[in-house]
Amino acid sequence: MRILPFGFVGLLLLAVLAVCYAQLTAQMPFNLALQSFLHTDWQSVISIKLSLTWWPRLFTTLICGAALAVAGVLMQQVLRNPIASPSTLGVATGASFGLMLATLYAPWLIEISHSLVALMGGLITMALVFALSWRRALSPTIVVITGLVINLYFGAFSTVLLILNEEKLSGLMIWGAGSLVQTGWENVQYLLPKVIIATGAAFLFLKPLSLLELTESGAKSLGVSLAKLRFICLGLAVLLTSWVVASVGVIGFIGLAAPAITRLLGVRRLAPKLIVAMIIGALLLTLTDLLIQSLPGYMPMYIQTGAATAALGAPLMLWLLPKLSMKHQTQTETVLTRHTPHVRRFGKKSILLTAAMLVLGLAVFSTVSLQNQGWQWLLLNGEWSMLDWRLPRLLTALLAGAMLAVAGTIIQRISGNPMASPEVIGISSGTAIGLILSLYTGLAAGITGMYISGLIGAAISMLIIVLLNRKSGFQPERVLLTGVAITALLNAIQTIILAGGDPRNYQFLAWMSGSTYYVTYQTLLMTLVCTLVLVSLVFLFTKWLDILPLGQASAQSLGVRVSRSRLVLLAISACLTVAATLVVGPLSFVGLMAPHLARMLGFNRAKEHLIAAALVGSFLMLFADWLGRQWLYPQEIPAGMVASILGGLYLLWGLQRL
Amino acid sequence: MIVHSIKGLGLTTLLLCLSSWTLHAEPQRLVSIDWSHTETLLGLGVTPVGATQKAAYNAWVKEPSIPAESVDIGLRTQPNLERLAELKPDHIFVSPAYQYHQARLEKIAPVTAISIYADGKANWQALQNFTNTMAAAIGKEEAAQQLITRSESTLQQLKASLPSKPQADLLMIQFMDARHVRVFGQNSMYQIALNQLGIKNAWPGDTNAWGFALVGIDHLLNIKGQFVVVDPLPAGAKEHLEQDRLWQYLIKESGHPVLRIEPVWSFGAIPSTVRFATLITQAITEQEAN
Repeated sequence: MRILPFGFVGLLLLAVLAVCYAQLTAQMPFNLALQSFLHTDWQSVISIKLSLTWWPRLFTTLICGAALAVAGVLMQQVLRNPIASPSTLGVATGASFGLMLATLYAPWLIEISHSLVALMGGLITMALVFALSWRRALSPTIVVITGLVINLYFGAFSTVLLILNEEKLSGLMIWGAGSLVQTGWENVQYLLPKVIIATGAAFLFLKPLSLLELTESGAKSLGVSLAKLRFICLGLAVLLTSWVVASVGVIGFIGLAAPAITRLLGVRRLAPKLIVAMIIGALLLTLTDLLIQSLPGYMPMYIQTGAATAALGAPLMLWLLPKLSMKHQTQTETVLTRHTPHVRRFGKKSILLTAAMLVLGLAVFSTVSLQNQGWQWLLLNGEWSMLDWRLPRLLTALLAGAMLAVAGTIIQRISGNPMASPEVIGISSGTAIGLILSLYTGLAAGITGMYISGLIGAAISMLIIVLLNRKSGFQPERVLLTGVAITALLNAIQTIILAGGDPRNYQFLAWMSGSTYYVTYQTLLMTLVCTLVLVSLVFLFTKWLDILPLGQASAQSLGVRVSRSRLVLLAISACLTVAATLVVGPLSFVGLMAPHLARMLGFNRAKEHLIAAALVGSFLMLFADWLGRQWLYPQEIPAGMVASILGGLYLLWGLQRL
Repeated sequence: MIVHSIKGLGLTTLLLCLSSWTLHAEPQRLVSIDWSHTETLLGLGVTPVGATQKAAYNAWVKEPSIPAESVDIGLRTQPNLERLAELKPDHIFVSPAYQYHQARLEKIAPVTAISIYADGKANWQALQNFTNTMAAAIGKEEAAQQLITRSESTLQQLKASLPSKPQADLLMIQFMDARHVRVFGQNSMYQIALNQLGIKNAWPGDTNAWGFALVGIDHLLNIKGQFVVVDPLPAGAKEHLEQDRLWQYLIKESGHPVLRIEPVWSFGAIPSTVRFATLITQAITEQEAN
């Protein structure tokens, strides 16, 4: 029984040692190379190179790998969620966002201490996640979802900053990709004592943590204060992650992979699990890094270790998903049930009101705008030719908003999960991956090529979602986690591309961030056709949408074939997402926000819910597009980004009330 | 029939001449979307009515600086089309990398899509071609010739003013963060300037189409040359580098002091090249004087 873990660790160790040996002997005789570890021979360039770069790098990777693995085990244990990990909970994003802000607006902070800024960023982000999920006693699902939302939110903000300040921030991109290049022993000195202390502290909590493996109520009855335990252990995990992120940059997925592999090796008890995961994490990261160092030429600079582990980790996560025995967690109570009592008063009147707002908005937003001479109203200055530029953009944004809202409504209703949306389940990310690959391999030139490759990407991610979730009958948590994995892959690819520093990247970034900038009458027409066809298709299935939220059992007893109807509806929402993503990018919380707002206005029946959500979504995107063009005039903030920033605020507020 | 067509041709030519004459009579309204276009136009003595990211330009390209009367039209990747249309330009210069713009820009004014980098063949001749093409599009051929001649003579003067003792090979780097640098080599603006000054570049490795390689500073071991650090240093990098043993060792090993150069636009045209040549010559001369 013990053979498997020992065998695996041994094999990994052998591989690491072999590559180390090969790299060292390629430089100088082995005994001299070993000597260079203990003392530097200042006469020999090779000895200096080894002792100031190679050896520190080896130890930094070992420490970072171990620290991330411990953080991963802690998070997974506390949240009882096998997919929780430092990268899913927003710590890394928070740290990098903090560094960005400091670089731009308070460089003196960075001069004081680079790591401190990153650390603060990570801690503040995590504190935010904690604060938002506190009311639910840091319930695992809520924590993971909050982490995800914060991840996306800071991601959106970072993108805006990046677009506006490409020169100043290009260095941060390298850090963001997790380059482990070392130039001395400072990082080892910084990390080693902290990691040892934090890990030691983690071992103190082994016993209460093991109890968490029982059910929540079981743990409670044994006298464990859940909230306190969760707080302390998550805090330790966050500290470990932030230290690593602060010193070497964002390293994805070791914190996920090491515990997962340990579990697959059959290590069940917590103490050995922690130790084995630590060793595996250290060796895995080191092996990856050593192999990347052995790549020829400049490839190590373009494929950096952090991004590489993230890119490798995403498929690993997808592969792990079906293997997880997911205890059916008590589902997040949906907003669905919450708002039912006090809604009847609204109804038709508010639909009319929203529709009127939309028309009014279109009229105002297309005529009022900043121009060369400040604020102008077309009715007064008569420059109607401006409409030629504005209308296609505004209308396309409006349509995209409607499509995303409808897609979001479908997904939320069938999953019974108020936090699900096309952005969250990974369809948007899949579309974006398709686009990126086609853009950089040169396979698709021009707008049509981009549409097609986006569609292929979305179809593949849909296929992945369906294949991985068919057996479980599209259980909400699983679908959500599939989305997390796909989004992680997108992030990894994006990071690798941006770290290269190719000036063309910013074109890609601008496009990725979802701007209506590239919209022409042609694209408007395409979007219009998509909207009309797909949205009217949805209205054929409103009966399913009414029944599915009642739950699997009730739906079946009412004669609905649950899996099949879910599949059909998911497919439609995928198409809706692609059509919208091509215009407003993979990130905009409209798909999440509009259905919520519609429900708050009091629309519960599927048909009303759809109409209201579509109207709200349209108005949001319309406003986002207009605001994005005025906010920093003459620079434009992509509509998708504005929507994310506004939507994120709403979401954070909503989460806290959930 | 033939007579008729000759007549027609003559008329067209006359009209063309007239139109270009009237065009030249009043200042042309030009818009430059890439910074290499902006600096070239300014070098030709033309002030564009619209230019992109003025504040960032003045921080990174510095000279020739954009006069206040030029209107900021937003990002290079997404110039503000409404503002652009309002400016009613006669001609727009854009980098071919931003291909998606072109069709719509053409609705506003004739477009010339041109760039120096990206095809991996940047050299002094390419800079001249770039300048001449831009000038030809706006009928400023003479100004272009003047700019080139003036720049060449400046470069020659600079070359002549260099200290007589042989100059060490230079290694031109720009810090991205405390551990990573862009090293500039073949295809780079810096290389073109060095060629004109007769100084060798110490970087033996490959570079990308924009003339740089992104490397960790550990890659600079074993390379014999004097360091030229192009500003700005990223926040916090200065403090870190003062403590960094590898960097201190590299400086010591190079046997020369580090030359720090104020910001120059790494992807610039003739004005940036001359500016860098001037700055590096100054730095070398000052170092010699000490």
